[in-house]
Amino acid sequence: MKQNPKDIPVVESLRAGILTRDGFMGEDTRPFTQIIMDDAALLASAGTTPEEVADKMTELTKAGLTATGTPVDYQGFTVTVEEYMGKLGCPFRDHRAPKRNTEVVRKDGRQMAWTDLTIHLIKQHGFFQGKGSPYRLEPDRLAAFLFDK
Amino acid sequence: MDFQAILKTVGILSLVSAALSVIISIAEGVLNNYGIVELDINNGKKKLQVKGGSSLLSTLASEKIFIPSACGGKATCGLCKVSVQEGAGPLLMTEEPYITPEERKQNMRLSCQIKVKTNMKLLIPEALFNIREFICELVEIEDMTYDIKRLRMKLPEGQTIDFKAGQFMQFYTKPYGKVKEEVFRAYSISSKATEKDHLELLIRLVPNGICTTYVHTVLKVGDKVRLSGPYGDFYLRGDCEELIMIAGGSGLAPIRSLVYDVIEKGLPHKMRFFFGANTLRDLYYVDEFEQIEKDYPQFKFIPCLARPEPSDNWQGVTGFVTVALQDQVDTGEGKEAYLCGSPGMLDACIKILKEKGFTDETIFYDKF
Repeated sequence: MKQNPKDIPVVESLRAGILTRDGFMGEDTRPFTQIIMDDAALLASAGTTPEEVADKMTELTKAGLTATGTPVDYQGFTVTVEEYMGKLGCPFRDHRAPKRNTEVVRKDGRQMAWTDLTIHLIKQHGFFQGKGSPYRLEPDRLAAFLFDK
Repeated sequence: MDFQAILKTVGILSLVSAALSVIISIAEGVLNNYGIVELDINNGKKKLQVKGGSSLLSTLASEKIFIPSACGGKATCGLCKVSVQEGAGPLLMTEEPYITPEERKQNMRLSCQIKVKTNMKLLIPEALFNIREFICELVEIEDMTYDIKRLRMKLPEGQTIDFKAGQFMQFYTKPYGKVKEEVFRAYSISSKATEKDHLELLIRLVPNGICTTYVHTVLKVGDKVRLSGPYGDFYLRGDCEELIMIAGGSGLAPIRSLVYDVIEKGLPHKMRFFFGANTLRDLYYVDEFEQIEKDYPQFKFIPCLARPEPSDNWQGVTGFVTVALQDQVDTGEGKEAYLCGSPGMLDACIKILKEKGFTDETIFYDKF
């Protein structure tokens, strides 16, 4: 796939060592635009949308924020939010997200973790990150986790 | 096709490729060669002849004019704004989220995003000309908690730094691991403003953080460390009777510097320092602040643990720092508040402070 010139700064920002130590692409060699398209199809097959998924993630993070650093029970999930100083820029350069990690455990033992930037990337850009990225979330697994499918 | 014909074809193709590469290199050199351009700063007060082609941020840095930036020039912090009166071209898409309508009227631009291509006219606050670069030696590195390290750095022989307690430095990492280029981030100074030949920083490990991983896993005593600064407008105003200080984690750094500043200047202000942590293992500098409390009755240290472990045998305030703030601060009258911590903690504390009568003019915190 030919790269759009306006994507060049985004591609640069997704690399390891630019915004974060490990970057957002992992070992994935697909262009980020292709990752977005592939994941959109996966998520659609799970019967949901990036907005729905991101909104649920935000809801859980907000629940955890009522007691930062402490596990909070919320609608069958146990949510722990850890905050750090400063903000992290979005590689698409349209947002600065607080440096905040959310760890969520379901009653059945399944667990997932995300950052505020992860939520923004999903909601605004449909980007679940490349395979091997530390914060990559498999769209179908995430949907099943959030909506108990 | 015989073998010789294949070789001939490959040879011709190689020659064509090489010729094209040379043409492209020459074209790049010509097209991207902006030559020497003039930067007129503050209506002719300073005029610099610089080589065009780099970002305004890095061009100014190479002339030892350091514009604050917390993200390392990646257009994600929005701190490196400079008023460009002429020569910047139209606002770029990458700048738009950070430039308010009011700032557009003042021709504010992100200096990390605009390239120096033609003569430019800039307005830069005079205070920024005091910012300098230091190549320091790391003389101590100490674990304050399991995820916070204290760095003590000695300035080069004969050099000193003047800073206001509460200000921050930019800390530059060297390439390591997957990080192929120098990166810089902003950290508040934790040492006393009167100690002019050393600097101390407190740095908490952030998962997947470029700079904090470097500090926690690569840096060692004896290493040379590049810093620039001081930056920022988080410093003591003191137009009040009492200072309410609030911090969490490594946010203790500028507060420690502020507390010593008040004491060493012999200022009359009362001080209450609310320090929030989860468990006992997240607390540090406790002995030091308790000693200050004994020596200076004007200072009160209030550590708050959100969820102390039974083994902590905690006798102090239990609950979030916001709870202590709610219970122990009656009104904003005659007080200023100085905060440093995570965005969530800042938001929660500011909300309470405003309910108690503090205003935007009496609440101070760094926005990076």
